[in-house]
Amino acid sequence: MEFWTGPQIRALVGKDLTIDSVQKALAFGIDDQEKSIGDDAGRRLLVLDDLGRRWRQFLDSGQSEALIERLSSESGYCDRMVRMDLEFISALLNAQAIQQALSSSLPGGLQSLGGFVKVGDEELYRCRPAGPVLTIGSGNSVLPVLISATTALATGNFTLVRPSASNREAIFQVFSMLEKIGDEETPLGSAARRMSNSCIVFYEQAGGDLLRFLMEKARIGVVNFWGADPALSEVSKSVSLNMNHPRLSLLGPLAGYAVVDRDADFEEAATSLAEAIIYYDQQLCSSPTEACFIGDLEQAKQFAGNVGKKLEEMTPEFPIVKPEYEIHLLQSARNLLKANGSELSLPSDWGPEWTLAVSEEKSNLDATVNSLPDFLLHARRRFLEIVAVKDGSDVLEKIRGLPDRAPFRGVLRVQTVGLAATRERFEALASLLCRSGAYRIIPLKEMHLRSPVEPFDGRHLARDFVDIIYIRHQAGGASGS
Amino acid sequence: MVDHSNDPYVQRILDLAADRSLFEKSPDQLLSLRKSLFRDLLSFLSTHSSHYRTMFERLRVDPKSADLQEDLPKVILSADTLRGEAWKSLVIDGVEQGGLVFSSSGTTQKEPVRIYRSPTDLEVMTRANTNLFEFVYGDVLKDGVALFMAAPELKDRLNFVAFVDMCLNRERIELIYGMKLLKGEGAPWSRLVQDRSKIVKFFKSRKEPKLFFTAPAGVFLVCKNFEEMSPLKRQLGRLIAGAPPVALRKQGVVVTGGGSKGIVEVPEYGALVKMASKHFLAQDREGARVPAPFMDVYGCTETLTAILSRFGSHGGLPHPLQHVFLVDPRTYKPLKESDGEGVLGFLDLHNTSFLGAFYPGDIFRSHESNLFYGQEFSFVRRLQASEGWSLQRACGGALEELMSRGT
Repeated sequence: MEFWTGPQIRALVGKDLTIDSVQKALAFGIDDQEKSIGDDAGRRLLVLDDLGRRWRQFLDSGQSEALIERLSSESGYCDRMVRMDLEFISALLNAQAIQQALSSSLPGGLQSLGGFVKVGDEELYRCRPAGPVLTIGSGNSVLPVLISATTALATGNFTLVRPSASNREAIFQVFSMLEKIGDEETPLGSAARRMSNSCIVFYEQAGGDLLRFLMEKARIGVVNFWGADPALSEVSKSVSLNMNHPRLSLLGPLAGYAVVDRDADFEEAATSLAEAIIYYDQQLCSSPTEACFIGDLEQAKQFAGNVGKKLEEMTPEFPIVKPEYEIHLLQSARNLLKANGSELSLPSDWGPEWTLAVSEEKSNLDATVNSLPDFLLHARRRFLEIVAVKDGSDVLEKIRGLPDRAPFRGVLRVQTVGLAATRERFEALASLLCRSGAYRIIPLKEMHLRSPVEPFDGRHLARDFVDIIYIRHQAGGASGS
Repeated sequence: MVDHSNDPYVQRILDLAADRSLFEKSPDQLLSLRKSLFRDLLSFLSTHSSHYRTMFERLRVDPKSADLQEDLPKVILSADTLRGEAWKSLVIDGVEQGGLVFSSSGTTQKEPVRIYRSPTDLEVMTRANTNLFEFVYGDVLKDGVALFMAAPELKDRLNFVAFVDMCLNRERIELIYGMKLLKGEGAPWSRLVQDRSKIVKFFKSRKEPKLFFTAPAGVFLVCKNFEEMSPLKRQLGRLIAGAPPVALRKQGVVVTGGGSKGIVEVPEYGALVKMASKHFLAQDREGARVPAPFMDVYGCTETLTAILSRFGSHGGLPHPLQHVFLVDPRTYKPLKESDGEGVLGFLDLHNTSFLGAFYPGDIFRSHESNLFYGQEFSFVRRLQASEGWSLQRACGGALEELMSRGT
């Protein structure tokens, strides 16, 4: 089995990562995790920062081209998209960003990792790792699994990382650089060695014996999983069998929703929406999967025309190759949408690269998917239906109802609302759409961007990876209840 | 209830389905006929169905001036749209009752494709397919005996079985079903077993011609079985069953349809025919011994008339009233040249219950032909649904980027 770890664990497990050898590694890891409590978390952040810097150099040096090509063929994303994904890694590993994230996530901030932090007159918090953490990644982007791994390591957890089939090569590449930092006899090198001995990256196919053992039997503190069904249910089921009762940290599957107000800057909104459609081929949980245009139908058609122009401009830079069956579904879906009354905006040669459908008041996608049950989210890459609605309350209704609709089967709720509106209208609409159940309401042009202080799907990820120890001193403390 | 069977359009289709002279017309004459029938069909559908009326309006297709080449691509759909009970919303208002609902085998784990054939459609299907079959066969069907490697219970459910059954019954050709459907649960195709006594009856029959209908896999399994026989077993076989070889007698023919049925060793068609030439024998019109001719049928649940080819003679020929065309697999724009490869689309003008225009989901090759259709078609492969793409949307997260504000 393909795996990577630090020198001390490698010496323990030998050449093969098996159920037996991983138990040795876990025993070592749990012990080491305990010993590291109180270590300077800032040092771990500096190691991650250096890793990010080296990753940047790796990308800039041109050595990453072969990797990009392979990731592109594994994921279906174009080279440019894969490069963009890999470029975000350096930002993700930035010490300042991680510090900001931990400070806003942990009660008592970053300091609570190193010792007790006063939170009341006689009350104190301290965060200690809840691990070992097993993080199971899925999907194409390298970022989700790396976000979890980085957060788990930064909070001092012994961390097992299982990337997905399509992103594993990049994940292994990142961690192999950690080993290089550890080769250096510097304080940073020493911290990197320690960190690499807190970590195992391995790849085993879903349903494999080791993965099953780790979820169902091993002494794991947290199981973190990003992904959708059927894997989501399988992971939940397996973890529920574990007598150690690990904490479940689940993320996804969610969807994004775009909203364009009649008074928005159409030019800017069109560019933003086109980018959100092109980036990651709408396969992120924040990607727009439907849009509402608040205004009349003619305005909506005009807006869609603008988005179409942007998509046409961007496509050569972000090419997409769709499999023949996906095209087959798409071409029939286009006919069905037209037959149901939608107006389509398409590439000039009718190619399958992108499709915009404009519908009045109600979505025509439901009827389309009713006729073509395979035309689900994964087959609707660079496809968007824009529904012209009268006002914000129509949008609210649509966002609330989205998870119950057949075209969005498997989506639990809307994660991100990308809103294009004037400042005043933005505030009014955001205030209204807070009732929609969406976790994020942000400008349309930033749908795919995260601030380090942002929670993940309504909660702070770092909190999933720590236990909060509470101390209350007797003198002047709270009275009993 | 409206009786559509007396509608002039339906009557015309019934007449045309029986018209053998269509096969003597030129490709241009037939195309012109199809163009005019396309308009008539759209008008008929528009008159008898609010669904189609609304649809044509939205697509800005005027039945009176509709153009076959320009407007057909707007209304054609994937056959996937026929899964489940979707056919119910596609048939015209007050559709003629008493027909049959045909279904695909359901081997793809998806809901089967289902389609309704009214009594008129069934009559049209029988007439048109018989005429096409006779053209390709090169003679009129009469007398003789046929072995069909299917079970009789399937004739009310599977399009191809129904069409063979109806055609042969109409021509009073004795039809022997070579398979039995076992009782029990599960898909019918998984409960089919050979009925050896019926097969032997066919082998021993002295009637002629003898027609053998089966999948290519069936031919292959018979050949393989014969080749593995010891000399003694062969002699015994000849004595008891009258084979090997299978004597199809004067004007006998093997008619294949369907694919390999999951049997991976089935050779490509030319090699299969060569393999079969030792085991299936026939005589020509004059009585000279020849390797059995092979005809192949392309058809699916959604096709009312088949595309028939004759090995060594010509490729697939549609019925004159079935408009068959290929589209570019990327843009789904019709190919301009007669010679090319693309996704097959068809409009079967014989349908009087709904708009029979579908992409079955197959890649075909076409080339120019001197025969009535002007083009011949050959099956290349089925469109593949790529594995793994459905896993793509599982990344669950959004990008993390250091943004200076919001901290």
